[in-house]
Amino acid sequence: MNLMDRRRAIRLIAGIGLMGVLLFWLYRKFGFGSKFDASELRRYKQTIDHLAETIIPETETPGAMRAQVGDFIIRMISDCSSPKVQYNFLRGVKQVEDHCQRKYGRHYAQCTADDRISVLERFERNAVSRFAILNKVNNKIFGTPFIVQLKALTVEGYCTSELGATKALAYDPIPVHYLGCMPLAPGQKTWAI
Amino acid sequence: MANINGKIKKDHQYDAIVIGSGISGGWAAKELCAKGLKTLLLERGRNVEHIKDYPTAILNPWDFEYRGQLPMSHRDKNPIQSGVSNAENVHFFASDEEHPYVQEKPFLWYRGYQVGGRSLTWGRQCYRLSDLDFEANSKDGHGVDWPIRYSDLAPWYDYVESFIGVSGHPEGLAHLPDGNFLPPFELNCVEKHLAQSIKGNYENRLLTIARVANLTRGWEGRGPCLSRNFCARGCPYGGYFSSNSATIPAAYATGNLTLRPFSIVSEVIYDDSSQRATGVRVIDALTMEVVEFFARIIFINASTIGTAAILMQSRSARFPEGLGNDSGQLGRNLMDHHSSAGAYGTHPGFKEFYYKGRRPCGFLIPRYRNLDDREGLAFVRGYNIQGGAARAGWQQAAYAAGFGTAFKEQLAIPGDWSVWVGGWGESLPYADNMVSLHPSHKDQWGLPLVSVDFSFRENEHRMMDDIQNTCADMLEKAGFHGVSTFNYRKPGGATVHEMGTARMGNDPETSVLNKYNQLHAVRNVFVTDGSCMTSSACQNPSLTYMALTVRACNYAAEALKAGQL
Repeated sequence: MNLMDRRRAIRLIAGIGLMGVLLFWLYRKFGFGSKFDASELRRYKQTIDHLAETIIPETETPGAMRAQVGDFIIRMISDCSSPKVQYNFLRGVKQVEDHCQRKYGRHYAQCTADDRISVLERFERNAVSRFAILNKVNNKIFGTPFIVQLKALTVEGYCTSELGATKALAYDPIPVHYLGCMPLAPGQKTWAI
Repeated sequence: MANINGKIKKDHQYDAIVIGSGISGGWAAKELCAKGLKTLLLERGRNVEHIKDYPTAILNPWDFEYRGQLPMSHRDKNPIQSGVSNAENVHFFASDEEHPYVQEKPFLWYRGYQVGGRSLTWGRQCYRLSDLDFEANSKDGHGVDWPIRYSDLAPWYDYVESFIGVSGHPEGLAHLPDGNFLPPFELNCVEKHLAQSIKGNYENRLLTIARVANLTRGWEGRGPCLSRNFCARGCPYGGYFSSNSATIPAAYATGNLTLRPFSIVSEVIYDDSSQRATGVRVIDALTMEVVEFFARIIFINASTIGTAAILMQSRSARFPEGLGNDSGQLGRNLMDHHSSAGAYGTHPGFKEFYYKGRRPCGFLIPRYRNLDDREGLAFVRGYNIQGGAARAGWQQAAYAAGFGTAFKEQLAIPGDWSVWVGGWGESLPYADNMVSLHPSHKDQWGLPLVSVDFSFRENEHRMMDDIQNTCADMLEKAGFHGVSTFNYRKPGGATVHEMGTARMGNDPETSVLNKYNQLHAVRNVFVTDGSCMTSSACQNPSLTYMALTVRACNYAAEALKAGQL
């Protein structure tokens, strides 16, 4: 082995070592691989209920809380999600609570309606870049941001619930005929399915 | 091995045995029964009775615990199955955990191990092949020549369509022959706009409604389709064609059918002295008991890969490489369509229009490439385009910014129109795209696991590039915005059109089956599922399997009557 090769080898080994330290640090910081505990998520049921209701509030049609969207979200995260999504979601809920304690000195559920909205707006601002490419890279490495996941699950849970589908949307279980091209009637809502 | 005494043997004697109750096996059973033959229909999976065994058919979204999704614990154990199914229809797809196979290269093998097979969950698209397809191999030299031409099959297409019921619109194209159609489903406004644009911009292209086995009016005591688009759950109205709703009940009505579920055929029994198959050996999937059944003719319709495996398992001194495999082609030339490439875009207009109901199909742009030999393209053969247009719904609105009342209101407002188009492309027969029996791995019944070695090649990849270009061009010319192309690069099997492992041909040295789907070397064994296909064409193939099946059944019954079988 000549000198150049030896130097290259040393650099390579140092590089691998550094990479290992970095991975270990990432692992500790983000905790990938730590076992998700569904009962821990269920302890945040009230927070999740209010997060969902803030996204889809009761108006002249039912809100997310009445449609039991919180239960759906917990079920989906606990049983239908990858460890990465589970971890991100639980961490996100905790961050919401931490933030509310720091800023308002109370739980999310106890915050005023305006504060509940501004908390979510803050999370959305921080999580979603206006550059699509950054979002893509971010999602690839760290998974879908908590706030995006929360909104998607809230909307899915609401729009596929009986109250959401039948009261807030147009639910047509047996259309009988397909009409391909009809004028959009005033007040016509999106089809639920 | 079961000890078959004379009495049992007599009880187990039929005129015909059909292996597999899917879309082609159901037809074989119906036709053979109708010809007066006592027919045993063997199915490796459980029974599924029309209507009674469609447990999710009328459920609402909120009736599903996970609103249609499958839990991670299930998906982890069944990665292939859960890639094609959801909670609405997972019970109609074989579990990977219980039915493993070996992937030499990534290959998605979606299986329907139950009575009715994949006819319960098929895409229902019905397109005839033409002489552009039947002559393709002989013209460009890939594969071997088909032993039949369109005129051989045309009356049988008529026959099949008149029973299954196909809705569609005649277009008068030589390369996509019209059939006997029920009234077509309607195109929506944006699809009509795209159709107009294509008609005005291209000489040899048109857009037509998909031709599907969904009944736009009542037909043969079934249907009509009620535009729910829940087909793959099983339709309680019989709104689409399946073995369960149509051919099996028709076979029963003759009084000649015996259906035996949970019957895994381990081999076809060959008798060297008569040079005929005498019956089949069956493993009862539940009791593990081995039973033999005997018949004068045997139809194998176990699906392309399953059929090849049964023939390969049927070894004898005469056929050491599998029954009827003198050519060495058995298991080879596996094909699947590719459906990875295409384009999408949104349309800013038509905001004042919507639709009602869930049409169980999209549209079709019939093949427009290599219609004659002088186009000078970088690939041979062609593709058709399938797609659909729709307005954005709450699913897309979920990604809008904001929270609260304003956000909620957006969920209920129909969004922009968008269109998605993708190319369904022909894949060439390659001898080394093949299935084989694994030398050591066995399933829970002691049968060798099937090993699949398949990849798309240069011709298919070049075709995918062309699909992207022509799709984007059509959408841009029609005024769509933000037109983007894609290539999902799905592995083989993803289109669920696997075929070719026991190809038909004129020459016994280079093919497994003759022009009537008989094994060249064992004339009382017929194979009429996808494995018989000599080339893949680009049309969805089920209609062709059905037409080939009834043609072969008709031939077999007449040959039996004439004492030639």
